[in-house]
Amino acid sequence: MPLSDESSALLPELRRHRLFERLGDADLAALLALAEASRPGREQVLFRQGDPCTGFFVVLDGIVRLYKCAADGREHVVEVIRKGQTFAEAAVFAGTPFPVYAEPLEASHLLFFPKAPFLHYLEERPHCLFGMIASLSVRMHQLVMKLESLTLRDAAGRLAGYLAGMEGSGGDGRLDIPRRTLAAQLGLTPETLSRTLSTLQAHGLISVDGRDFVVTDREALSALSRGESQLG
Amino acid sequence: MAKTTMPQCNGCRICDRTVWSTLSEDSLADLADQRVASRYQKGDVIFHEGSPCSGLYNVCTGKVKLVRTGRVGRQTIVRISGSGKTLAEIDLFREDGRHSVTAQAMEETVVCYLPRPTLMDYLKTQPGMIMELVHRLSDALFKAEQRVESLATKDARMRLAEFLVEVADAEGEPYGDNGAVRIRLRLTREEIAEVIGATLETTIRLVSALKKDGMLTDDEGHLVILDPSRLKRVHKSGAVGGVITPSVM
Repeated sequence: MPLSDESSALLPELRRHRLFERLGDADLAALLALAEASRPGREQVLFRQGDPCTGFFVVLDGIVRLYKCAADGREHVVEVIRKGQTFAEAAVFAGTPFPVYAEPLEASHLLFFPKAPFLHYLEERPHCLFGMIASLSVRMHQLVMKLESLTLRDAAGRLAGYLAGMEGSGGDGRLDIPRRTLAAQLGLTPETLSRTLSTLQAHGLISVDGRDFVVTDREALSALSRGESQLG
Repeated sequence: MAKTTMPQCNGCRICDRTVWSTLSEDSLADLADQRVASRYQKGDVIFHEGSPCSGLYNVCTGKVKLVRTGRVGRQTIVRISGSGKTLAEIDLFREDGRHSVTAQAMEETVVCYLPRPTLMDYLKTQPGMIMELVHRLSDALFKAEQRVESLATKDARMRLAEFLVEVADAEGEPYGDNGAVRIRLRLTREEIAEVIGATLETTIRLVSALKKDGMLTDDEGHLVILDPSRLKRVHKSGAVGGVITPSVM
């Protein structure tokens, strides 16, 4: 549904996003005029892999899982998108179909930007493209790191990298996605993930209680995540 | 191993396939003085991971591998880029302005380079060119997502088959009359290992298994795929009788 006049409240929120942070007030307002609000429920599929790309999304609230289905039906999580992030903008620019499935892990609040009006908007405002290039570059860099991590690190190294990234300032943290989703994101089976969590705990690097964890040996965890050490 | 700077590249036939293709003839002529074409020999480094990104590169001829070196010294080939492809487009707009990978020539390669300040000036007035850059970045992003998926969901044998099929599609030439395909690019076992994310030992074992199985052979350092359709089946499903699929991460 189209946004109401109250949408001006969304302007500062949108500007916090990397894709739009360099836009001026007028450009941002014109962009927001294209957007449609969407409030999908948990596990309501937003689009399917191979569907023609109709536009891209900004997550205002919630968590969205992007995944692919292999020929044998196995799902692989490509990315978990959180509040303040976008998804499917690369497919808009590249002119490809949606490369993944998208499904909220919880009830979410999204903004949808339809493809044709968005591309027309950019044609009229080429200067806006610089910020978007910066955003794509950051995403690309993250993917390169993920490629490296998948290639070089074993299960313990990948999990350590993830936990180190999730850790709060007090050394504790909480897994905000289900374990099977985390396993898929790290390219592990759920069993390997459980085993690896236990191994990290047994080595005194973390202590785990359900979804909550506390980092007990930060130095060892980060050395493991950088591939500088391995668990014996 | 110093690069050789080439004379002006007037009449270059690759231009149509590069990011410059979006420019008008006038702009292109204008740029001619700013562009630098250089020739690199196999093994020469074009830029190093971590060094400041000073401009944009187009591959005119040859092949370049983009490599990341892990902290324990193992390498990952992120991408192999050939004629018409752009290098460093992912680094130009990063906040730290440094190269995220090392670019190294895999064979004799000619690269056309445009310094960053000139490029940025052009981008401000050339929406077509910036859109083309966005398109290329998105495309690179799409391919990287595919590789992440493949690394996470396929075993090393399937990834090897997938890579061989891919490189044969891009770099293959007919070999004999039986549908065999010879890969033009010479690839070392190390390079194959760095692309598929397996150890060298595993890669050597997997290549030998494919040879023993009659799907692959060597011809003066070039790999020859004897049975492309069977290899495709391996990469899709891993299915081919007789060989045990090792589980490697």
